[in-house]
Amino acid sequence: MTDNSSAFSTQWQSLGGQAYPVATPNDWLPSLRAVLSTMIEPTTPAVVGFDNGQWPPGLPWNAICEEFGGVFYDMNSLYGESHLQAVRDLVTQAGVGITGAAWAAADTGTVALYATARTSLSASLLPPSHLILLKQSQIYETVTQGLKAVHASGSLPHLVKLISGPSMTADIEGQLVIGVHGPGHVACLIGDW
Amino acid sequence: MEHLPQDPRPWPVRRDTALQDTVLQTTLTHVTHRLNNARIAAYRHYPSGEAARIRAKARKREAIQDWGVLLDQAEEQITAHGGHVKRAATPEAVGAYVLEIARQHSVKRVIKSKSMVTEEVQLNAQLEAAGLDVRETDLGEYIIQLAHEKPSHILAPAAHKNRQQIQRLFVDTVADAGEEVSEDIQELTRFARNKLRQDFLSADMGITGGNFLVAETGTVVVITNEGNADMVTTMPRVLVSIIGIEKIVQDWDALEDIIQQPALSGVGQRLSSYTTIISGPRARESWEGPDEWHVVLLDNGRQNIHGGPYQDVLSCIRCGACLNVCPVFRQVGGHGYGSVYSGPIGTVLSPLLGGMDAFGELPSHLCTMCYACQEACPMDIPLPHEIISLRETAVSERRESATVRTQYRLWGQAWSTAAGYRRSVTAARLAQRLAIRRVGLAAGWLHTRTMPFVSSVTFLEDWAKKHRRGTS
Repeated sequence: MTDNSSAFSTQWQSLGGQAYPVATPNDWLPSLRAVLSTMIEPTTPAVVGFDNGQWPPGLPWNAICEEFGGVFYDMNSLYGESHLQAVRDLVTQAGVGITGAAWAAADTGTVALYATARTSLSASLLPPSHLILLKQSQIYETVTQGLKAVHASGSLPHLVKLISGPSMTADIEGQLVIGVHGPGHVACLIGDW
Repeated sequence: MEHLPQDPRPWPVRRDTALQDTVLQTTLTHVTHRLNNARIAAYRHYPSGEAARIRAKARKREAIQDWGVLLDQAEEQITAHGGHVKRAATPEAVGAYVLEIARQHSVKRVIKSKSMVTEEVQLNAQLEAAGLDVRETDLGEYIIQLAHEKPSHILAPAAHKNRQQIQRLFVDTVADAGEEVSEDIQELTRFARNKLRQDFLSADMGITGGNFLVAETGTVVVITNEGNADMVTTMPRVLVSIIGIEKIVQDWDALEDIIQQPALSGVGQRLSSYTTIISGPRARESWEGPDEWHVVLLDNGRQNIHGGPYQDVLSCIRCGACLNVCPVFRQVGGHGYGSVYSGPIGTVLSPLLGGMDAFGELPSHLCTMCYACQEACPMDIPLPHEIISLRETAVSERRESATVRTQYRLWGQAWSTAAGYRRSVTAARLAQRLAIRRVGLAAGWLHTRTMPFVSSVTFLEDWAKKHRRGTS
């Protein structure tokens, strides 16, 4: 693990998220099986992902999800037609959303997502569990560096979302509750591919 | 419609109601202490957050000073990215504009994320009067909307309610017939999530406030911990962001320094769980976000503050840190102030926005001059100094009662000479015997305080006596 990866993991976990290092490319399969086994629920078997072409290649998503009673939907397969409502219906019912990330920041334990043609914000928001696939090289030391990257990209994404841990509230008697509108279960798999 | 909604109950009624509310006393004390301790710990363990705060303060002051140019730049940028900008001078102008957009898009249901500025302009009432179904989606705001109340804390709007009250409220208002609602806080939250999820999916219009508006790119930044602003900005086809013009910052450098400050100072986190950064409506190739984005820039009295002695108050980032340290706020809570803006910041901002006639009593009665708010404020707004200044205005405008004015004048005259002071000590000794505490200026003051005992021989009297003896 790089310094930034381990600092990110520490901060992300302190916020209530889970972080799993993936040591080598061969470890992706067992790591995914381990984390998805804790996320897939029988009542909400749908697992939605939006592989933007930057995910670890060659992973048997359908088989892994089926192993734990889930059904994997690659949202790219819905792309092209009147997909907006179809995607929304699917994500609304899903138990797990899987996304990549634009970047992450170690000091605040933040993951950034952009709304583009090939990435999904709602998969990170509507299902009760969110799994993020993160490359070590995407992790900056500070959120300031990450924000500079948003701005420096030339064309500013119309919607950027920074996630720093699970959805939470302390609105009733100041008691912290995890998982209000967004997911209560957020996990990062961090490695190289 | 007034510039700022006002609770019609007079201050003594608001005060006594709050002090006799045992639920409020318990809950508020717990919430304010927790948030304040979290703030102190967050900065202590994060030196770069403190360094950013100092830079952010300086840049924010400059942005307020130059806001005319910056607001023009923001408007150009938003328009260039396909958004629409409306400058609104009054609460009515905001309501009329939002209703017009709603009419154009045949909107029936509106979902909102938490926004103090929409409380300020009473947007929900304006939209509901026109027949729209408006739903607050922040858990605390949802609770007080169902209870038809106002927020009692900038960050924790339902901080005055306990779980039993909220359980009964849910049963009485939104639970289906026969639906069980638990008193467990986790279960109450889950109940609200399920109810609100249906609203998110069926809403036609989303409304957010904005924590920052970046002039350089026309970008609006919205911060939440629950993720509800992400829902509001991602799901409905029309999005309206309503922003006070003081939220302007120059550029992304300034944003980078200030973006963490609301969370650090407000809840003691380095960044809130969700930060949403909006720079335009949905791009053609993208499939999430609103088809149409409107930004309403609200003045409502802010231009009148600009350029005057209270300009620094426009730097406020609404973190709520001053509320959590204020001994008055901790006792009476937000409802005691009779304004949507409570605590020390509300004590200054409410009379400036809503006028001295409506809110002139706040600086006079709801501050102990302990200066805790100034120490806690991440933007170093000199709140106590501004409160004193507002008191001077109240005095010069003769807003205190004639009895109080006369007593203070006589007191001032008495203590302006040494002989007068000595006579006052003699008078105090006499008053003590006559139990004068039941009348005049002292009456209310001494209800809950003990008058210090005036010695039969004071130090000065004793000194004078010995001095005379020594020189004779």
